[in-house]
Amino acid sequence: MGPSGAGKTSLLMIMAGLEQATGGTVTMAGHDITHMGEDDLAALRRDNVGIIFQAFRLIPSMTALQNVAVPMNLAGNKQAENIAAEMLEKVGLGHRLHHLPDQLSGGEQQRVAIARAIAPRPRILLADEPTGNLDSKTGALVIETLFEATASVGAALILITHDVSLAAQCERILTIEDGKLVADEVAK
Amino acid sequence: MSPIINPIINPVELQKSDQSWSLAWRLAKCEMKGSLSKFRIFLSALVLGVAAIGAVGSVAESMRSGIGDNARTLLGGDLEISSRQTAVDETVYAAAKSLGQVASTLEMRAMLRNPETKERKLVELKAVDSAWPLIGDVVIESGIALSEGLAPGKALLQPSLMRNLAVEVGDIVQLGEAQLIVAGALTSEPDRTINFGGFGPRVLISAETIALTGLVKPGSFISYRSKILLDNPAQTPQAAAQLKPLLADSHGRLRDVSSAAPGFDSFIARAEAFLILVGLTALLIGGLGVGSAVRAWLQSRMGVIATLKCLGAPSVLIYRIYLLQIMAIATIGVALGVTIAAIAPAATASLLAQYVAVPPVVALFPKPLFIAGAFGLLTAFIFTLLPLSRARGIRASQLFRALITPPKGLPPFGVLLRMALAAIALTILALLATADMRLTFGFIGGAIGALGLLALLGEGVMRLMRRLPSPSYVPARLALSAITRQGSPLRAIIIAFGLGLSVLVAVTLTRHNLDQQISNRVADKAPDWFFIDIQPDQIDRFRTITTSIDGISEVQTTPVLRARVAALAGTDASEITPPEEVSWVLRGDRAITWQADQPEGARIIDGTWWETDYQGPPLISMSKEAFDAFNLSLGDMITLNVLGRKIDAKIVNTREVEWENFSINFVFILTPGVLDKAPHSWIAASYADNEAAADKAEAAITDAFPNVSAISVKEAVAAATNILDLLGGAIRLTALVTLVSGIAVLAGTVASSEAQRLSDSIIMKVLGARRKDILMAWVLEYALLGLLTALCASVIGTAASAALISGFLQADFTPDLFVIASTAITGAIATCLLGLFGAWRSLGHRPAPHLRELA
Repeated sequence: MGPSGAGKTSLLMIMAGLEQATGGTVTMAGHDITHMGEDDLAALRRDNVGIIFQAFRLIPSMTALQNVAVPMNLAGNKQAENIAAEMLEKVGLGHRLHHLPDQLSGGEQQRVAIARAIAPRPRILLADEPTGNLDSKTGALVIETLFEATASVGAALILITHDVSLAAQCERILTIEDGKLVADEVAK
Repeated sequence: MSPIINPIINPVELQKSDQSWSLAWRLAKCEMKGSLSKFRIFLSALVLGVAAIGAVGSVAESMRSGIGDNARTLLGGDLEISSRQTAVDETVYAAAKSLGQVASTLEMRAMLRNPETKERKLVELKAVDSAWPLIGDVVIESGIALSEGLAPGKALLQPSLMRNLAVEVGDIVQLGEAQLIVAGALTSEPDRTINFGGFGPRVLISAETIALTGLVKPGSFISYRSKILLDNPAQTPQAAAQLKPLLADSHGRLRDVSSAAPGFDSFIARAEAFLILVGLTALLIGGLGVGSAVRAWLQSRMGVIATLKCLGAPSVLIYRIYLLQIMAIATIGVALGVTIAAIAPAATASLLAQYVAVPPVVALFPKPLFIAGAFGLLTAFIFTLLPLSRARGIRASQLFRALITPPKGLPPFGVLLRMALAAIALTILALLATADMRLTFGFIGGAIGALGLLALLGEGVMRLMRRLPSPSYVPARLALSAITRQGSPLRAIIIAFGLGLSVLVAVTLTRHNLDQQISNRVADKAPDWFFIDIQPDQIDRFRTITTSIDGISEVQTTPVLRARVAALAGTDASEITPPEEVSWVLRGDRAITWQADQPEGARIIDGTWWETDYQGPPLISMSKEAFDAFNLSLGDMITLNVLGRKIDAKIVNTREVEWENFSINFVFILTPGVLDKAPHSWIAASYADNEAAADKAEAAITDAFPNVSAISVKEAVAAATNILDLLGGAIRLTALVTLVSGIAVLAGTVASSEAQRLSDSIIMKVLGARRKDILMAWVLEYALLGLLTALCASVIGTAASAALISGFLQADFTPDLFVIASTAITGAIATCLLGLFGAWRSLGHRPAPHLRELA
C-alpha cells in the first residue's frame, strides 16, 4: 500500500523483471535477474510470474479462450486451449469462452485476466490495483475469484491496492512512501 | 486443484518453441481479424504500384507476342533485302529467286495532287510488283480485288488522304507526270508496322504505274525492298547465309523475322523500361504511405505488443507476428494489383489496335506479373522493417503507465542490413524488368537525388518554421505547432508530394521554354520549305524559279546522296558499339554532300577547311558531336559505302552543327570531285519573307517539277511538337502516378496522427474551443503543409528545367511565374482538402467518452 507516486508500481515492475533496478540485486525463482536479457526475462516470467493489471490488458482481437491460452501457447503447451477452457470455467466464465473482450463487462474482463495469469500455474502472481477499474460489488467478486484461483495453484500473490479492507484480507501488508518501506504488518 | 510448482526451465531452450513461425502465424491470424479496413491506405499504395508495373510489362509482352506471332506478315516474308537509292545487283535478286517466292517493292516520298482543286499533299508512295504481298492481306474499303486496285494507271489511297484532298473513288489524282484513277481506299497492308502519324499518308500503286509517273530518277530518295518467302521457313538461317556474301560489298542489307519491326521493338522496350520505372517510383513513394500505415497500425497495437511481452513473448516472436500479418495483407494487395495487371492486355487491346498493324496477343504473361508482385512484396518489406524494429523494442513495463511509446534512434544493424539487402534485390529486379542498366541507374540516381534534395529542403523548412515566433491567433498557433512538433508529417509530405509536383513544374516549364525556342527559331531562322529529289538537270531552273518569286529571301541548294559508314579509323562499322546518342550515324544510310567552300554559318572546331580548288584524295569534314562520340582523331580515315562503292576519306576538320536551326545540315561533307559523277539529286531550302511567298514557291516548284517533293517545315515542326506532346504527356503521367501515391502517404500520415489529433481536439473542446476554431487550425495546418511542399517542388522543378534548357539544350531559360505560382497554389489547396478530408472524422467526436478513456 502507499500513496500515489510512492513507488509501488515501480517495485512491482522490478519484481516482474520488467524494469531494471538501479541498485542491489533481484532474485526471482532462484535466478538472479538483475542483469538478465529481455528475452530471457520474458521466458522466465512466462513460467513463473502471472500479472494482473488494473486496466485488464486483454488482447482485443482475441476471444476470452484465446487470451487465456496465449501464455501457454508461448510455452509450447499443446493442451493450452483445454487448460484455458478449464480455467475460465473455474472463474465462472465457461459460457463466455468465445466472446471478445469488448463483449464482456469490466468484471468479466478482469476474471479473464485472472484466468490468464494463473493458467500457466505461476509461482508468483502480481496484481496492480486489480479492482481499481471496477465498482465495489464487482470488485469484491473479482477479489474472491483471485484469492481462490491463487490458492488453487499455490502461488504467492502480491497485490497493490488503496483499499484498506482488501489489504486486510492479505497475510502481510507492506507500506511504501517516497520509495521507502515504512511499515511491514501481518494482517491475519 | 493441487498446488504445482513449475520446475525452472532453461530460458534458451524455451525460446525454441516460442519463436516458432507457426505460433507467430496463429497469433497473427487473431490480430488480423477485422483489421483489413485499417490497411486501406497500405493496400491502395501497393495495388496502384503493382498494377502499374504489371500492366506495363503485360501490355508490352502482349505487343511483343503480337509481333512475334506475326513476324512474317510484318516483314512480308522470311527475309528482306533492302537498299537505298538504287536496287541491289541482279545477281542478288536472282539468288533470292532461287530460294523461294520474291516480291519487290519501292518506297519514296512524292507529291499527290487533286488536279481540280490544285490541293497537294506529301505522301508515302509504295509501288509493288504483282507478287506482292507474299503473306498477309491487303484490306481495301470498297471491297475490290487488289489486282483491280493496282491495275496500271490506278492508285489506292489511305482514307484520310482521300478526305484531305477531297477525292473519291473514281476521281483523278496527279502523281508525278501521271494522272491516276483513285481505285479504292486502302485500310491496311501487311508489311506496315506502326501508324503513329507523321510519316505521311500511304499511296499504293503497281510497278507498272510508277513507271508512268517519271518519279524514279537517279539519285532520288528511294527505298528498294525484296521480300523472300521461303518454301520452308526453317531454312531461313541457311538462306540468309547464302545471301549475305552476295551483299557484303553492296549497299544492300538483309533482315529476317527476328527484326521484323526493329524500330517498333526498341520503341516498346524503351517505353516499357521508362513506364516500369515510373511504376517503381510510384511504388516507392507509395512505400512511404505503406510505412506510415504500418506505423499507425503498430501504434494502435502497442498495448497488445506490451501485453504479449508481459505474458512472456520474446521480441523475435513479436517481430514475426507483425511481419507475417503485414506481409499477409501485402500479399492481398499484391494479388489485387497483379489481377488488374493480368487483365490489362485484354483491356488495352482495342486501344492499341489503332496504332499497331498486328493485334496484341491477349493472354496471361507470368513473367511481368511475377516481377510486379515481387516489387510489391519487397517494397512492403522494406518500408515495414523500420516501424517493426521499433515495435519490437516496446517495453512491457509501459503497460503500467498511461502512455506507450516506441523507442527512438537508429534501428539495429540487422534491420539496416535487411533493408539494404531488400533494396539491392529491388534494384536487381528493376534491372531484370527494364533490361537497361543505364536507364535504370540513371533513373534511380535521379530519383534518389531529387528525394535527397526534397529531404534537405524539408529539413531546412522545418528548422525555419521552428524559428518563427508563435502567432497570437490561437488556430494559427495550433497549426504552426502541429507542423513543427516532434513526428510532424512535414518532411514525409514534402518528399511524397514534392517529387510529383517537381516533375509537373519541370515538365510545364520545359515545355513552355521549348515552345518559345521552337517558335522563335522557326520564325527567325528556319526555312519554310524543303525540296527533295531535285535532279541535277533541274537545279538551275529550280534556282531561277524560286529567286524570281517576290518575297523569297534565300534559297539554299546542295547535292546529296545516300551512303553508309562502312568503317571508322580502320575498324569495320559492324564491330563498333556506338554510344547511344550517335548510334544513328551507323544504323542506316546517311545523307552526305560535297562542297568546295566552308558552309555558311558553320564553325570549324578542329583542323581547317580545304582549299576551294582542292583536287587531291578525298577529304571529309565531320560534325564535332559524332567525331568526339566515336573518339576519332584528325587524320583518321572514314570508309563510306556509296551505292556499293567504297570510298576512303581522311578527316581533316570538325564542325559544330546546329541541328536545331532547321537549315540543311550534314554529319559528313566530302571534298568535291569524289561523288559528282555518282547518281545523286539535290535538296533545297527556301526562306520567304511571308507565308504567301513561301506557298507560292512551293506551288511553282511542284508544278514545274512533278518529281520534286516539298516538305513543309511548319508541318514538320507540328509533327515534332506532337511527339513532344506525347513525351510531355508520358512524363505528366509519371507525375500524376507519383502524386496519387503521394495521396496514400498523406492519408497515412493523417491516419497515424489520428489518435493525437482526437486527443488534441477533445482537450481543445474542453478548454472552450468551438468546432470552427479547431477546423480553422486544421485548414491552416494543411494549407501551410501544401504551400511549403509546393514551394519546395517549385524550387526543384525550376532548377531541373533550367538545367535541362540551358545546360543540355544550350538555350535561354525563362522562368514562368504563372506556372510556378499556380502549381504552388494548386498543391496547397489539394493538400489542404485531402488532409482535411482525412482529419474530418476526429472533429465529430464528443469529448465525454474519450475523456473517461484518457483518465
